[in-house]
Amino acid sequence: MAGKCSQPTCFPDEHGCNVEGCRNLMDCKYYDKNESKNEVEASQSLTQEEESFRIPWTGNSFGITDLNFLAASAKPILIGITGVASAGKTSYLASLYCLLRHGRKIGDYSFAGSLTLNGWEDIAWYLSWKENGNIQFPPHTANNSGRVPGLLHLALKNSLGKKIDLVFTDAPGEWFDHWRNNIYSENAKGAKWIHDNCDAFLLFADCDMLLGTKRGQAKSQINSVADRLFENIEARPIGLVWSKSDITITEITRGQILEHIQEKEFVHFNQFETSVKEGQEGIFHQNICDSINWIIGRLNSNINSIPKFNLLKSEDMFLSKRELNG
Amino acid sequence: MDNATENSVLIIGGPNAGKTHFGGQLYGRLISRKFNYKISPNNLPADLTIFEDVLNKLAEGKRAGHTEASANRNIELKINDENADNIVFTFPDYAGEQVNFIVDNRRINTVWKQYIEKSSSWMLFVRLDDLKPLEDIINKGIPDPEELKKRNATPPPVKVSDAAHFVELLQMLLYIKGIPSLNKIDRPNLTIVLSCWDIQNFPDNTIPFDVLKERLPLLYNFVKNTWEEKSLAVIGLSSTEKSLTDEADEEYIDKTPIKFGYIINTNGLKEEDLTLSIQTFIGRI
Repeated sequence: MAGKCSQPTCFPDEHGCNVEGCRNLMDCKYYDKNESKNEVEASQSLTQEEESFRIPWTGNSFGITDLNFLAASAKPILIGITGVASAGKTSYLASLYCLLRHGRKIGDYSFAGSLTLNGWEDIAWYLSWKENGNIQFPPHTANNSGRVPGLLHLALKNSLGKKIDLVFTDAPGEWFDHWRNNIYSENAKGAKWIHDNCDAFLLFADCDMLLGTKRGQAKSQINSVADRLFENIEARPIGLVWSKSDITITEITRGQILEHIQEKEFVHFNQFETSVKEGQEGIFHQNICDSINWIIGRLNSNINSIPKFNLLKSEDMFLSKRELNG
Repeated sequence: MDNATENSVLIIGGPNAGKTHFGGQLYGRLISRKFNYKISPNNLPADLTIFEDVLNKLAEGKRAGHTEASANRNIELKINDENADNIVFTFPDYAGEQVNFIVDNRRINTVWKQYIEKSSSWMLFVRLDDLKPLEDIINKGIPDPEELKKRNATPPPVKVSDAAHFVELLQMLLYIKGIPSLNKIDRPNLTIVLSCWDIQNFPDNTIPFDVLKERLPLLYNFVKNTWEEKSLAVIGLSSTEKSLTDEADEEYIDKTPIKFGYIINTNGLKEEDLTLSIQTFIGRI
């Protein structure tokens, strides 16, 4: 039951009728007419609304059902943004969007659309100057113990016109905290979904925390989330993001975390120093773009090469016809 | 009209974007028959209500009023160029609020659906002086306390950036028209019109495409990645050449409105013949 429609994949009040294609929702056999009756009577603009067409995305962060619309055309690349609470995950995403909004490229790729523009703008708003010139960091991502994270979509095209769809998870850090302790915990279902479904991961290590008095706890949290992530990682790329890198941590701390990771089995691993502050010659911002570009590159390298076969087999009717058609 | 090319141009622009003045000035030039494109003498539009207010106001050297919010009319102009090729140019007239309504309410009414389906070319009006400059950590860094003090009551908060607004609008229009986004788009071709060019004081030969790239980089990348190069153009426009008010401008009255206004073509060259913009709109250049 989704909203006023009895069908689980239909959200008629946001997207219009998804199942029957009704122009007037009151004609739909699945629509709960009783529940919406009062509202409809109150609405003066009904006739206009009846005759209007909706689009199948709201602009806000995707939920899992919204992925259907996107995934119907091509498989999007799901990138899991992982790490404990206030490690800078949302700030990283907000900075990425701000960079694109200023025309920055991700390697050879540049912005080609998004179905979650409002979602991006919402998080970027915190890194934008307000009337009082203030910048706030995005607040804590709400832990409403959902099972699917908020998903942010980005379409990119390269100079050859090749299009890719990226979907980033924006999940509360608590999920990963529960998950590192017990993958079957009720509150870890969202984190488990991310681990099961994502094509690549970024693990966030907060330099601020790694320098402070709680650095012992921070190290063990990062290590234990890494332990879970590297389980069944196979060829999926995993990037370690040193967030808030404008703060310099000790080489010993850095070494300890890297050493822990180097012990594991993986195919693609890399590390990136990032910050909302641009750093010398913009290096921290560049690293945000580079981290995504690295993931795209590694995923492309995972694709098998197309098998070669002889097209000129005249005895094979199918292949010879193919050849005739050029 | 058997040999006429049907070109339905959909003019897309929010409130105050300059659609009405452009319509009036374009019509004035077309009917004068002194420019490249002309209205066929035997095909004068029967009903000129759409242009009535703007033509009267411009003749008096005043600015035109705001198009009423409920208005939804259109006018078909049958025009030909020097080669006597016929073009049917549909000019819809509506209040700019309707465009914002589409994005804000995420729905498109039947009238707009017909406009979109029928159109073969889109003209998106972007008024440069209405764009709120982006100020975020990328170009401004983290503000220092001095700066914080300075701006206590200045610009309103950036909620949804202008670039995101235009990208969403185009994405919605493309969806309603049923145009896939995998390959680059050939039809409808898109012309982005940067209006109120005169008050920007750009140096001569400024290329409009470069201005779009500088001012709205997100929109620039979106359209560049979405449209075929030959189906995409960016031009500058100053319909009235100077800012008109409700007070009569004597120079306007004496010289007549068609002596004012210009476009900046895709190569950055100033052209007084506004009708030449039609070539761009219908994708003939």
